[in-house]
Amino acid sequence: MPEDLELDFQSALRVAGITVPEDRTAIMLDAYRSYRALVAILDEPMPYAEEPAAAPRLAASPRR
Amino acid sequence: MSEDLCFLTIAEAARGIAARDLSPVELTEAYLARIAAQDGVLRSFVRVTPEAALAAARQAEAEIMVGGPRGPLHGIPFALKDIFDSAGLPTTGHSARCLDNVAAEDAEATARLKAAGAVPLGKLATHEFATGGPSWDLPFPPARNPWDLTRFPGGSSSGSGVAVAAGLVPGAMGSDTGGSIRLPAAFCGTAGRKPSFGRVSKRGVLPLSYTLDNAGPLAWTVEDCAILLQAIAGHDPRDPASANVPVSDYRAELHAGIKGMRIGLVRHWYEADRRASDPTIAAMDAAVEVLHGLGAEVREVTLHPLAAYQATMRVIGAAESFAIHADWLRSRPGDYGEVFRYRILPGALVTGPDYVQAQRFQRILAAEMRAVLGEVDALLTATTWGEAPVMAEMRAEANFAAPPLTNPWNVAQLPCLALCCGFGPGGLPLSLQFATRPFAEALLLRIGQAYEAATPWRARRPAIPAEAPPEHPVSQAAPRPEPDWAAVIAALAARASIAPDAAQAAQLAEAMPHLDAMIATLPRDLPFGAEPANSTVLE
Repeated sequence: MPEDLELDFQSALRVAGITVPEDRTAIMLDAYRSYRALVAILDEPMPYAEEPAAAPRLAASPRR
Repeated sequence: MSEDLCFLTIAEAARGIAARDLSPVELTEAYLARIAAQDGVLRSFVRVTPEAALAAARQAEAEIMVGGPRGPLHGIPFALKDIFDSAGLPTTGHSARCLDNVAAEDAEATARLKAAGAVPLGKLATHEFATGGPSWDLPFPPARNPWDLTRFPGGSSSGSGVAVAAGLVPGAMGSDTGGSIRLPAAFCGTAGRKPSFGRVSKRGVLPLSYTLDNAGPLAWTVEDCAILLQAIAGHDPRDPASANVPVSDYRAELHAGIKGMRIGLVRHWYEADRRASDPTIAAMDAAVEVLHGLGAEVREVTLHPLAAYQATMRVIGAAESFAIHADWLRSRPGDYGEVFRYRILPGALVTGPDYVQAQRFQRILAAEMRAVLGEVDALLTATTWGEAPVMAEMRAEANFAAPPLTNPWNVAQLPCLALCCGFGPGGLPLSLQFATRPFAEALLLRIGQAYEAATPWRARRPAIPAEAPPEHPVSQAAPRPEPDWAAVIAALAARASIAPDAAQAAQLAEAMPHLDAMIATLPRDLPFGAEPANSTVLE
C-alpha cells in the first residue's frame, strides 16, 4: 500500500474523473483504505499458467 | 547437395522420406550444418540442440525403416520460439529473468510435434516475452533480416521468420498476440498462420495476453503451414482457452481452387486509415487481379477504422501483460530489458473500467467482422505498411503510434494467414493477409494455396552475406517530461505500486499519452447488454 494514502486517493479520483464532496472525503478515504487492503491480496505472486476465469470462448461458425 | 536439402519444403521432404529417397538423419545434418555456417550473422537461434536433434532423427529413421512414416512430419526438423516449453531445456523468453527456467515437460504444441515424429533443432530468438522490438540489452542479440541484415526481421517471432526464410529450418512455431507470427512472416517473406483463438493449445507457452495470444506455425509454403497446423491443432483439456471443436483435414481440399468464392477487400485500412507504401498498394492491386483470374469475386468491404482495433488490442494487452509481470516488475525491474519495460509499464496505469470497456468493444468489433463474413468467404488486406524498416531507426514509441494492420484478427480472434505478395524496391518482401470465419482453417489454407500457386514469389530466397554489418543499438531514452506531467506520472506510478527510476519515468511519461489517446477512443455509451468478450463460460 502506498505510504501517502491520501495522495494516492486523490490520484485515483483524478484518474476516474470523480469529485468527492469535502464532507464525504474522510469517510471515502477510509473506504479507500479498506479497498487497497483487499487489492493487496490480489498482488500475491502467481505462476504464469494461472489463467483468468474469464478466458474467452470462440464458438464455431455455422458455415465451416 | 546438402545445401539443396535445406530448401525442400516440408511436403517435398516428406515425400522423399516416405519413398526412402531421403534420410531424416541426412536432412537433420544438412540443417545443422547450415545453421553452423549461416546463423552467426542471422542470430535466429538462441540455442541449438544438435545431440537431441540427431538422436530424434536416428529414432525417426529407424521407425520409418520398419513401418514407414507416421505422417508428413516424421523425420522433419522444426524449431521453437523460445517461449515454448521443451522438457529439459530452459524457456528463456529471450530474457535474463528466465535464463534458468528449465521446463519440466513439453508444451502441448511441442509434445504434439514430437509425437508426429518431428525433429527438434532448438530454440529461436524472440522479442523479450514476445513483445517489444529489437533489443541490445538482453542475454541474446536480436535476430537479423536475411534479406538485408540492417533491417528489422519483424517480431516477436523474429527467429522463427528468419530461420525459415534463410533455410535453417523448414518450419517453426511462433506466437501471435497482435501480429507476432504474421509480422516476421511478412518481413522475412514466409507464410505465417495465426489460428482461430483456442485452436492450438497455449499450455506451456509463456503468456503475454491471455485473451489475445495464439500459438501457430511459420513455414515457407501454405501446404507446409497446413501440415504443421494439422499436427498441433486440437482440444487440450489442460488449457482453459482451448476449443473443443473437431479438427478437419487441412489438406483434403487444399488444391480445390477458389472459383466462385467471394473475397472482401478491406482497402480502407491500408489506403485511407493510414496510407501504405505505393509498392504495397500496387502489390495488393496485383493480388486482387490474381484472385479475379482464379475465378474469385473481390468486393470492397468497410469495417471499423483500424485505430479501433489498435485501441482495443493495446488496452487489453497492456493490462494483461502488466498483470502477468507485475510482481517481478515491481521487485526486480532491472531483470527486464528497456524495450519490454517501455511497452509494459503503461499497463500499470490502465484502470479496471478501461479494461472492461475494451473487452466490451472487442465483442462488438468481433461481431461486426463475423457479420461481414456471412456475406463473403474471406477477408483480405495488407500485412504491413511496406518493406521492413531499418533496425537502427526503431524506437519503442513508434509502436504505440502506428496502428498495426495485424491487430484486427487478434481482436476478432479469427484465423488469419500472411503470405508474400511480391517484393519492394529494396528487394525485401511485401505481404498480404487472408482471414476467415472461426475454425474455417481449411478454407483459409485453400485460398492461400490458390494464391501462392498462381504467383512466383516462392521461387526467391535471400542470399545471406558472410559478414555482419556494424551494430547500431537504438537508445530508448525519452526526453525529460514537463514538471506537471512528471508529477502526475509519479502519482499514478505510486498508486500502481511501481517505482520507475528517472529514465523509466520519462519513458512512461512519453508512452502514456499514446495509451491515453487509445483509451479515450473506447466507446463509453454502450448499452447495458454489451457484454465483454471474455464473459465466463462454465463447462
